[in-house]
Amino acid sequence: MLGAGFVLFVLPVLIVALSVVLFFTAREETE
Amino acid sequence: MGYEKLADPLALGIFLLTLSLPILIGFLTLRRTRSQSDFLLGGRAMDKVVVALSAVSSGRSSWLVLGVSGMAWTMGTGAVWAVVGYILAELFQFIYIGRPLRRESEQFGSLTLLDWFETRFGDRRQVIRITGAVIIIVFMTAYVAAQFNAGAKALSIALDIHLLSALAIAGVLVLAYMVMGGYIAVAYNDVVRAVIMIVGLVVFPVVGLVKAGGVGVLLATLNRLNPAFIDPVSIGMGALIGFLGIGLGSPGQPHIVVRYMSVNDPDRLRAAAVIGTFWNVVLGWGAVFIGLLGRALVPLESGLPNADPEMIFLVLASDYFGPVLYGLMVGGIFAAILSTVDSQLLVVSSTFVRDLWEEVLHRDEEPEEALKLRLNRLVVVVAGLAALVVAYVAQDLVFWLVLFAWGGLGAAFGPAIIMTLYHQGTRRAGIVAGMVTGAVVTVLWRQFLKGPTGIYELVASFPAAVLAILVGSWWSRRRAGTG
Repeated sequence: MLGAGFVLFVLPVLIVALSVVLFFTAREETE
Repeated sequence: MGYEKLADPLALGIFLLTLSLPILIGFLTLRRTRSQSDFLLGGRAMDKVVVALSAVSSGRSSWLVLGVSGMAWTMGTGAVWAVVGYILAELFQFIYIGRPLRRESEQFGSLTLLDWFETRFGDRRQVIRITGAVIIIVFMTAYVAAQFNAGAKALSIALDIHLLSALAIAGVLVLAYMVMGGYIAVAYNDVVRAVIMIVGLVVFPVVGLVKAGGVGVLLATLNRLNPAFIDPVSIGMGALIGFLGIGLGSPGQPHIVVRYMSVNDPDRLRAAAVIGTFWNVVLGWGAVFIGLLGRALVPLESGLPNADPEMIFLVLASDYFGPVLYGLMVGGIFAAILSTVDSQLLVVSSTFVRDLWEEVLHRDEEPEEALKLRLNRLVVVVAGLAALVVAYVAQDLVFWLVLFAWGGLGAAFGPAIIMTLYHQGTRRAGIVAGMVTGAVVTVLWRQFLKGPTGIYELVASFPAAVLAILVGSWWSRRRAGTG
């Protein structure tokens, strides 16, 4: 049940959170 | 067959509206399409939201709406892994492939992926362009034909018409707006379809969960039916790696990658990555939830038309929704199919007109912009009609070829793009070796080794292509005395 709860509700939030982290950390370096 | 409710005039009206809306969008974008660059890339002036939603919905075909929900019905929560791989891959590729590709393609004046490869490697003999064009034409035409066939089959059942008439309707619908607005029409249509798909894949599971009595009841019901349904790793390591391996195909799909080249500012792809990922997650998990709800509400195969788990989406839509939402949801299936078919057809057309006609056959001339635009429009129609004919007369060949399409394109172009961007020692010979190896190993592995080994073809062909690029590049550097 825990595993199901994790993949159904926590995993999607983690993936979206990762995209937000990348938004802030992957800024383009000025050339 | 799951479509009976379309007999309701309101449901039918909404469904037909979702089908014909794209033509209006095509008409509205007609004036913005004045050059070949507009027709193929939206003049590199597309907004980040449009690029994000277009990249996501072009990559998702009926496989997501019908296939993934069917998988979740069959195997339970383990089906989640089928969407995790490509969502993560696409998140990273928005930024780490899309951004450099967008920047360099403007610098080089590249309109297609093969333009970019050729300039990047100074390939005056055009070996990369011709090899890549052959791979694109073979796999993409099969892809377009298979999608047309799937869409027409569903349409013929939904409206109770002959397959040939359904193919003609699907063809006219797609070709009409493509000829008018090219890439811009396709991209804006993708946005509308992303919204329609969201209605199908979000409203649906939310309403379903309420009707089923909440998440706790749903999981308890699934557990009672089969404890493996609520164990996400019960599918086994081999299947799990194979599911995640689907994501290896994403960076190499020309119809997805070309979207990054169309954004108005390369750095906007960071924001597009957030928007696209959010949308991808919502669509992917929506499809999984529909399958799980379906299992709880319709536990036996005998409750499904033709005992086919892929019909669960239609069965639930028909049982639980009124005519308006039902019409939208059935429209959502076609939205998913058509959003893939139009972007792929545009890649086929750009391969013929830009890659072969302009850059190979008329290499030393400067064809007029108006002529190129006319030719692109003509080739969209001719290639579209050819795909429709193939979809009707060579169904077996199409379905055989399309089995390799995602993997073949993914392994041929994904490693080549990544190694070009991130491995300095990559040479032209390596890229050609990698493209051919990726395509050939995908076909051979799927045909002969997938059964005995249980390993998904991309998990084998992707690293094989990387290896071929490394070896080919090493050989090339050694011959030139630079490595």
